[in-house]
Amino acid sequence: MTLTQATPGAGRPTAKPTEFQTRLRAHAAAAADWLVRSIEACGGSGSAAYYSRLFRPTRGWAPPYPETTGYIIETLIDYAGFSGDARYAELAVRQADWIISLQDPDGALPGRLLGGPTKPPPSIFNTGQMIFGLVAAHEHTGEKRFIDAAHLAARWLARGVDERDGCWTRHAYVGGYSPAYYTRVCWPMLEVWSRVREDEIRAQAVRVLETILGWQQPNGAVRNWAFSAAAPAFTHTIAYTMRGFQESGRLLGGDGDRFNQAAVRIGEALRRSLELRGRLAGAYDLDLKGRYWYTCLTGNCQLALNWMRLCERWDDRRLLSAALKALEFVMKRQSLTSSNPAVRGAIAGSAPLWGRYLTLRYPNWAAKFFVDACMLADRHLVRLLEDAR
Amino acid sequence: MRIAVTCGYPRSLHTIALLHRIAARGHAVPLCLRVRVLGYKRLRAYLRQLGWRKALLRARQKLGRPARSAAEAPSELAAMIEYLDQHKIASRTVGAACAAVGARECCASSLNDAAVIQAVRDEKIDLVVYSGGGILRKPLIEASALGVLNAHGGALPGFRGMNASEWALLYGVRPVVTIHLIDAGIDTGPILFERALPAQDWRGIPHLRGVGTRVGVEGLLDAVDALAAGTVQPRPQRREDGRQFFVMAAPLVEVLERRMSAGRAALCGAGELVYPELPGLTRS
Repeated sequence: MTLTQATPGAGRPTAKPTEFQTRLRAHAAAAADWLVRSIEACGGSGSAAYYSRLFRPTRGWAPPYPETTGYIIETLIDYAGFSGDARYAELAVRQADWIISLQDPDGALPGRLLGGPTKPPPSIFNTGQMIFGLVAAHEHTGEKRFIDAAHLAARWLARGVDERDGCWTRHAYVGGYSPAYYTRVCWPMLEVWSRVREDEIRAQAVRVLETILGWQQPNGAVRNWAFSAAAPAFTHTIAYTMRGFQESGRLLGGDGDRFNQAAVRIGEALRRSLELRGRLAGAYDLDLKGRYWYTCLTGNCQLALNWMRLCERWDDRRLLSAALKALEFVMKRQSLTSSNPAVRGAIAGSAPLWGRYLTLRYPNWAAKFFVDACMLADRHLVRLLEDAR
Repeated sequence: MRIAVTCGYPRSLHTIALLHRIAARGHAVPLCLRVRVLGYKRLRAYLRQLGWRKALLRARQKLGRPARSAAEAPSELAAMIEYLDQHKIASRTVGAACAAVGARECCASSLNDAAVIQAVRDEKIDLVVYSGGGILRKPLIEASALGVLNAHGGALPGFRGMNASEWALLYGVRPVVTIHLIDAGIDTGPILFERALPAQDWRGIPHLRGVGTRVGVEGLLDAVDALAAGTVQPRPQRREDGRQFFVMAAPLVEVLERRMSAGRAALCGAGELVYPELPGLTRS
């Protein structure tokens, strides 16, 4: 299926777009179509984790990645509405069916890429991310099987919380290490809870959030927010941690204020870094000292999203300004003209390409968060222009 | 009063206006504190804040041939050229203005250099009027009897930092210039008074800035007189009450320009802040 004919902006009765919006929509369309190609590269079942001629010399495309396919589902559904082309949503629903086919009877979903003959072992974080897709498919189609699968997965997550540590200690990406970005597992659990109202799911999610909140330092940094305890954190995992806090806070209403505050502290520290240095670093340590020789493009897109979500809540347009700067940085590094369709529209892990995060690769989640950020930025700008009419 | 005027670049029209007009109001202006344009730190700050394209444009504007008339000048400068013409000020460089009013130029790579501070002390300066040149540190702020006077292009404490008048308009707030004394924070010093910009259809952001600069110059002159006469009492502001803004992202500038072209920017409120409080943010 080719969706390159999609018309950005179709079906939206808005003010004439600004020059930036026109560019933004073109960039979003290119990335959305790249996501479609990443699914086509896997025969329509799952989205290839990344494209890289260095890491995958024969095909270029990596095997499908259930985790990120999960949250790409919600992006494609959203983009279908944004572009006015329903085919993105149809493709997304097929991916949700594929996710269900991977689910264990106890609700767990697999970690890692699906490259080998056997299904990889279950993963806490990846299960959480796939819940997003199942919930989005349910919202879009109204079909019960999707929310049932999400409910089962959330129950598995709730059962897995370690009673003593108040966090998950098994089925981790790095054995024995509980990362702070597990906040982004609590968020999908709360998404499920908000629909099925099973209190145990909420209780366990809040429990983990409280544990991780205890890891936050006065400067906003959070212990264990990186892929490993000793390393500085890529903005990718920092943004995961922040978003988990802020969306959980939103779903918990008044009970979630302290989690919102935690997200604001992270977001504010990084916003100042961007404004004072002119761009975001690729990674930050716990003293918020940045590694500025490269930028994690995924992190840029995610932080842009987080800031815009905070802006929606408090109408602090400084956050929107920072988000647009972070996003523009990524747009400048996305090729719209490459003759290689696997590079055209793709977003690299790092800028420069040899930066530390996903070196010399174009991950599907970078394109996902980029499309999400473009759509949200466009909506903000539309609203501001509507104010002007 | 003995007054020193700071200066950010050799063709700063508002510095020229201030030098002439302060002298015309009967105050002594023995010193102009000018920062060198091509300092490494300054260039780095410009590049980080503006990006190299805008930084080049800014440098060209500041170092290029001076416009001779308001019609010839970019719209940001036109308001000040009109102002100079209106007051029959012929100088078009700070050097010429210094010569005309008898001020000594003290050039340094930073206004915080020891030589600048010493010059302020040696000349027994009562008040420094800030007219550009970068962030000031405590020793210079405390070097004169009354401190350093600044015209900030936005309401304080609500709109601290960069592009304050643009941010005000983006929030639908009527832009003002606030005259205040500088302290160690960013736009956190005691406030003397504020002056509203005229409610009008803005022809774009450069026009807004140009008019803001002119209102700022007049405000500074009145503040100098008021401080000399002891008729104004600076009102302290609380650091935690305000919000610091940075350079506005280009897409928001585009939205603002669109609003201006639609005539919406003039239809703003009476200077009150319209945005809600943002809990938990570190405000500085």
